[in-house]
Amino acid sequence: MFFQLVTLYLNRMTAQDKSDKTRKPRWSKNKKRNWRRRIDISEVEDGLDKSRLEQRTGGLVKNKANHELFFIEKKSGDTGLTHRQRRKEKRLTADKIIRPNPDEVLPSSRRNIAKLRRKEKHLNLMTKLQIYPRKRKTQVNKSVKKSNDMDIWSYNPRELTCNLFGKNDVTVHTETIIGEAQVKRPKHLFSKPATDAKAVEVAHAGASYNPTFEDHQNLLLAEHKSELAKCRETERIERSVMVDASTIATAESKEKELTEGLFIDGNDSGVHEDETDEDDDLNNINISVGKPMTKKQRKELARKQIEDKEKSKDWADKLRQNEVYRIKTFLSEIQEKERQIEAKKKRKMERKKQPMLSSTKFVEPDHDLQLSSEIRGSLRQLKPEGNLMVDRYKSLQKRCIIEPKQRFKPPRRKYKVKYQEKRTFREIEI
Amino acid sequence: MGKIKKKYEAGAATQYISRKQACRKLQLSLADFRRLCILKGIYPHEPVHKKRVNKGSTTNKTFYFLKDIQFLLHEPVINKFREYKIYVRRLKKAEARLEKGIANHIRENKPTYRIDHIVRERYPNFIDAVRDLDDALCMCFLFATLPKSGRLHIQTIDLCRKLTVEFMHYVIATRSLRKVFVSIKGFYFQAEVMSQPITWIIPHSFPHNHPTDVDFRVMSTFTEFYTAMLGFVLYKLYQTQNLHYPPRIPLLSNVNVTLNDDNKKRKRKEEIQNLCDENEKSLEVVASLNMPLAQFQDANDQEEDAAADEEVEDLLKEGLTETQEEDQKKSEDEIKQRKLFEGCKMFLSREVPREAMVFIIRSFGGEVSWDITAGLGSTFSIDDEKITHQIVDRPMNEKPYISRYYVQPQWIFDSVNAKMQLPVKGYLPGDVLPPHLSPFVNEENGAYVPPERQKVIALQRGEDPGINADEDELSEEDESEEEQEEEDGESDEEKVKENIDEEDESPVVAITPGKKDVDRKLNPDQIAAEEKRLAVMMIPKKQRRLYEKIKYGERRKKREAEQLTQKRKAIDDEKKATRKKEKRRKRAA
Repeated sequence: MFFQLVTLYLNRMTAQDKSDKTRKPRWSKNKKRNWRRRIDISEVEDGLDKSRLEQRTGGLVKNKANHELFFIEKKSGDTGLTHRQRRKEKRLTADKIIRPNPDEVLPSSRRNIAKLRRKEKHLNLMTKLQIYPRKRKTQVNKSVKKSNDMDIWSYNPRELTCNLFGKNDVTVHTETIIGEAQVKRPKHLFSKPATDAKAVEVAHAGASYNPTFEDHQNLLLAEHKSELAKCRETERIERSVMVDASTIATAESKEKELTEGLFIDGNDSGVHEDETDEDDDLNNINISVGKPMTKKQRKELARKQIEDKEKSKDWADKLRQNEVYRIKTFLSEIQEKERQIEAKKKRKMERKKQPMLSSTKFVEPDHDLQLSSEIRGSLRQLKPEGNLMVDRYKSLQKRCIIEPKQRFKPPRRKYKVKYQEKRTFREIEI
Repeated sequence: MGKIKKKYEAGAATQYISRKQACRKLQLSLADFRRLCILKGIYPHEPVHKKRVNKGSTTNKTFYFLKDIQFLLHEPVINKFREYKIYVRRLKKAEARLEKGIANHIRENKPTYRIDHIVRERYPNFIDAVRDLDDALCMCFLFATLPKSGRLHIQTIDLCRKLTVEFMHYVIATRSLRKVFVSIKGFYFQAEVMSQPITWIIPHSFPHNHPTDVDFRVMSTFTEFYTAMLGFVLYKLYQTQNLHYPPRIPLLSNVNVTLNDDNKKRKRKEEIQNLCDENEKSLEVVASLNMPLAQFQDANDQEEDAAADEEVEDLLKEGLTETQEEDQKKSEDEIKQRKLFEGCKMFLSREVPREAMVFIIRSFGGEVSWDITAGLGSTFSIDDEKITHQIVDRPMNEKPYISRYYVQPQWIFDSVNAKMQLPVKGYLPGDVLPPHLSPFVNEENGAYVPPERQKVIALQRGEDPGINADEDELSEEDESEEEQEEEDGESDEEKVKENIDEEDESPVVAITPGKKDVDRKLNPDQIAAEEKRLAVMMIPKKQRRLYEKIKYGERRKKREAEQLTQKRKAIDDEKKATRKKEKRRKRAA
């Protein structure tokens, strides 16, 4: 019962601890029993275990001399550490500055000049005695391993990567735990993006250095059409922006507008001349009002209107009734329209749309051709046309391997740069 | 309340990633990201619903698949890019502080990387790499001709040149060249490597203007990848042919040996020594494409090959099924084509584009040489009596040798495309050449076939297309020909009358052994047409409609072709008429 109470009490204490970490569990130090129970002698016991182990296996370590425990390594680099681990064990630059290596002597300080001279002397002595110091290796690019086997298809792709770059931590991990490497090339990457376009599109037959008449004419015609289309585009834009010169305000017309209605009461002689002309026109206008219509006339007018209405209605009805005999033509018209719509749809679907991969649109390159006057017909006199670099670049863009790009233009300044001389310099007079 | 579904968190919006986001994810600059995508073969894609992917806006951005970018994260070459960036930074600092020793030390430890694993990963099979050779070859040939600059180092140019030379050697060794087309852009070639047709273009040897609207960094990255890939592919191809890679020439002493005079020899040797340095000599001789390459096994293999060829021919002679007969024909044609210039010894004049011509002629079994002072690698001189053809492109001023044909280079191109040695007649120096037709044009049935092509087809069949009746040979013969034609016509009629009279006069009634009717030598065309007509009659009614529709389309095409022929005829007649008028005027004057 008492023990239960004690344990409850202790638990309560630990619960309090969770909220308030600074408190230690208190126990009464009166009784010997508590001392026997509460004290944690595990550390002492561990120490004793260790010393007993040491005694069992060759004597206590603290009693041993240095040469019995350690040996000076004659062969360098064989610490069993990987490149990464060794880099970790390197001294930090901060440490190097604070506590420099006594062997490394900076040549900049005056005190060290003497040291350097001493070192040089020592080196010369060693070379005379033919005792050479160990050379420090320069940092060789160890990742570039020259593989003499040029047949890469005899290797696994992962093997090659490991040979060239060493194993990644991730690959090691996945290999040990899962048993195979996780990273595979996605399947859709094994086919090219645009499968219908060929890598090398052979030029049109009219682009031969000695073409037949028909082929050359066909090529010229095709290019002519595309050029016309371009011209039409530019013309269309110009037309929509076209401004009639006569509608543009000149200084004269502006003045005239502004002075309209002013200078009326014979102040300026020049204005009078215009007025006389206007008066004549005003006098010539004849406004005839006429007599009002009589009842008879009104009735006749109404009757006429009704008659006209009926006539037109009858005519419309007649036409409508006769349309029954035109059903066939209507049907054929409808069918024709539907066919046209479908053909248009089909043509639109078939016209392959070049996917838009960036903000600039892909522009089809012009065919390279020579005019009839430029064709020489001889290989010796041939003057080549077109640039292969541009041709290849455009072909890559067409096949969606790279996205079309505009030449980088540095952004235009929104506000002009203002320069100001500093006040202190402004005051200086040369 | 359940989880609130937000927009653009699932579906298409999560499958694509924009270029900027991808750069941030990979922690690379834009230039490095582009380079990585080109090397790894990652392409941008246009999403079907741009608005969904772009989170409501419709601006045109570059999108990549998220899976692709996640795949890129595992690429070890990225670390090399970062190391290179740091290398550049350190180097710039050292140079700016004028610490030359440190700068040199940094330059010695420049980080480099290899992309063998990328090539292997992109082409799981060797055939995939062979299929992609088109692009690689075009790039390498193009870069081999560029001048060195700040952006383009001499090592890249040299590597491209070396690879192109090695590929051409392979094509020569396997005799796999099939088509040649000379255009104003450059030379188009098509070869068959591992039964894959490969087309590439070589630029004309002219200086280019550096174009302004091409991103040179992108092109040089492509070249970097393609040179690596091409190297591996060539190694494998050479392995299949038992050739040494890198190519070696067995005996260099064969070069320039055929001179008699000692004095001449010494002079010539001096001239030759001035052509290139000693250390470059072997490379230059390989690059001249005129020497056979060193193989691994010599005599045994050749005998085996010859025996294999004979066996194939024997098999071919036996009777086989129809499809096999077609294949047999094809392989026979191929074997014929490979030996097109076999036995020909050709000499190239200086004005002819040497490398292309050597490549073409040697790919069909011919022997070539050129003037000793024009370059290394010439095997015989112009005085050699066994020369069969000399290729000239300018008006001839020297005395012609009788034992050889003098032709213009187009004879070679047209012969290759016609798969037979064309008659030399139209290609003599000073002649107006017939037009150079493109072999890449597929002619459909009923399409317009220009008369030049018809001639070639006729020659291929072995018929004489009537070359002697050329329009070029207009003289008094023309008028006399016309008169003769009229006379011939009359004589034919007379002959017919005579025959009839004879039959009436002599009614011999006796049993004589009968004369065989002369087998009507039907054209292969006519036989085919008859068979077709029979097949058409057998079509069932249901499918006849469809057939009629197809036929209607074909007839329309034929009509168009006829119109074109008539046009051509009209033009030719005009030409003839003008020429006649001129002749008459000359005669009158």
